[in-house]
Amino acid sequence: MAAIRTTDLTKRYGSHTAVSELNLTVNAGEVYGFLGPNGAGKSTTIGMLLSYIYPTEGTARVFGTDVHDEPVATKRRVGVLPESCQLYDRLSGRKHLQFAIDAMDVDDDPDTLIDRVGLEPDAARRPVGEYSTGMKQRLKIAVTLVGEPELLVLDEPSSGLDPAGIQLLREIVLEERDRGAAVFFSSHILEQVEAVCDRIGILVDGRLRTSGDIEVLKSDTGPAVELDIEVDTLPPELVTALESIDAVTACAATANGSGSSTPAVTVSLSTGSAKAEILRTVEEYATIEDFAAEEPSLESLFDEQVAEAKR
Amino acid sequence: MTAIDIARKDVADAVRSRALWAATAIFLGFMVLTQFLVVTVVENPDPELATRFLEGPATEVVLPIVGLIVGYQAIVGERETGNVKFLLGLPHSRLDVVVGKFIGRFAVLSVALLSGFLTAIGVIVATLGVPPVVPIVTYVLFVLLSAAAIVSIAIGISAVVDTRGRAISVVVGGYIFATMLWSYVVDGAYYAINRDVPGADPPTWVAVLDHLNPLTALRTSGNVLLPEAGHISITVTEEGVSAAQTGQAPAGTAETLVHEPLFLAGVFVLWTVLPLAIGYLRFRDTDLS
Repeated sequence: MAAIRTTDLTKRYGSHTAVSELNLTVNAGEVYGFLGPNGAGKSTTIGMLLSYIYPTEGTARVFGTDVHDEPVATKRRVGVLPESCQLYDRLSGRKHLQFAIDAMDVDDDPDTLIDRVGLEPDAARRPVGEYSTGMKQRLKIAVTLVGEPELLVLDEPSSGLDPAGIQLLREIVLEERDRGAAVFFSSHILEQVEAVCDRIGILVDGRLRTSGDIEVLKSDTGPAVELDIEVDTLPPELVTALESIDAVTACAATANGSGSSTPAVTVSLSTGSAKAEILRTVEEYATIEDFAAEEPSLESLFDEQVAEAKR
Repeated sequence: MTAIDIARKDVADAVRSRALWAATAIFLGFMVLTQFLVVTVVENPDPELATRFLEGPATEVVLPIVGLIVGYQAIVGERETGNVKFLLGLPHSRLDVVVGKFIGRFAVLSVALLSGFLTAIGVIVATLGVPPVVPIVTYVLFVLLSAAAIVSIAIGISAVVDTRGRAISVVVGGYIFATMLWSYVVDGAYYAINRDVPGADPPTWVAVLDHLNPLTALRTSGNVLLPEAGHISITVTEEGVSAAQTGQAPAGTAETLVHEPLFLAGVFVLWTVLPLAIGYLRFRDTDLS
């Protein structure tokens, strides 16, 4: 059974459509990256998954249960880190965890959770009002782990975390996935999504532009590799020779390479294994001064989807 | 019962805030001040008279204001800060949040009220002797009922409005209406029908409409439940101020429906249930973004 399945999920505010006919599925044991520029409707979608916001049309199901009908029952199975969620400044970190443990009706040890997110035991006894932003974020992550939920919904979980905290978050997400939990990871920081997610969906202007395996989607966006080679001379035969190679999908020569006065040739390849062959071919006609290989990134995929949506 | 968990957390939070202690100090201060005046100003005061003065500015003015302040931010404040997303991210329902907040804030106010009454009773016992127990216990119970009604009104407003600013406007407007305008509206209705203003002993329906105002019901509870005091005459002489009781009973105390304790309790229960119900229904259907 899918951890999350939305069917034509739609939210309208008056004439403005925040989320439009969203259909997405997140399975147990996978990390799903939910991407989108600011204002794309990510938080509205998450609000509907957590029954903070009621859909205008369509349904959101968590483990087969409509969250609108059974909000409490679904949240027993979900660890939640909402965006712009505030803790109680006068209560200690430990009290927050105990409150969550009572609510989830489990008997977790708060100290184990505190240790897992890297908070000092002393800090856990101090009021949250004295915490730094990063410590608060760590505590919120600890709250999501209470009761080993089958699904984690994390909205911008890395906000306020230092690099060590981000690394810890990544480890926790992967540990939770390996335990069998589904993780719904919303973020606008692409490299973090790339580091942990198995599948992604890109939301632009309330519509899911694309969804699927992160590697497949990347290879669909363009050539597997793009080689940028700077050479001392650029004879026309070189271009002809390169174009005759099977793996080459495009080849462009520029008299002046990027940022220097050196001539350069840019070669797009359908497969990365042809790189050596290309370099050998170039060497037959000229001397290579410098080269760079660029593989398609999540960023290029993301930019492409956003640009397409705006057209 | 997760509403109890929310209430317990709310009280734990309040204990660490200055609000609870300020509320307690203000209420307690007014209770003790009133007793102090009875002991020092009235000639030959007795425990019965002092008991009558358990009702006064503390219950009539301080209690409603403190009750509204304790409650009006409970839900809308958490919506504005985002605390409510923490609560609702856990397996709590919106009903749990409304009921839990009500119980928590009512508990906080009850602590303030009970410590005020206990201290005032302590003053009476220490200076004048043992006061009548049954009327006091009954009256305190009614004050607690009225406190539940006031907190419920504040929580109901807090659940319905979208911003703290709006909550303040509604609370202040409602308080002014209840204290200053309610009786005029009722008198206006009487005038529209009878072309006359109601006298000292108005017809039952006018008294009933008047007593649907929980603040009026609270004042009448004091009149009905506490031992009757004679008219107090205050004399100002060269030696200072003195007050004495005369035998004369105050006017306008004909026994009607509104002097039935059961009716008064009913008013408080109505004002406890109705605002919570309306507040919950509205909060249940609100998008929290």
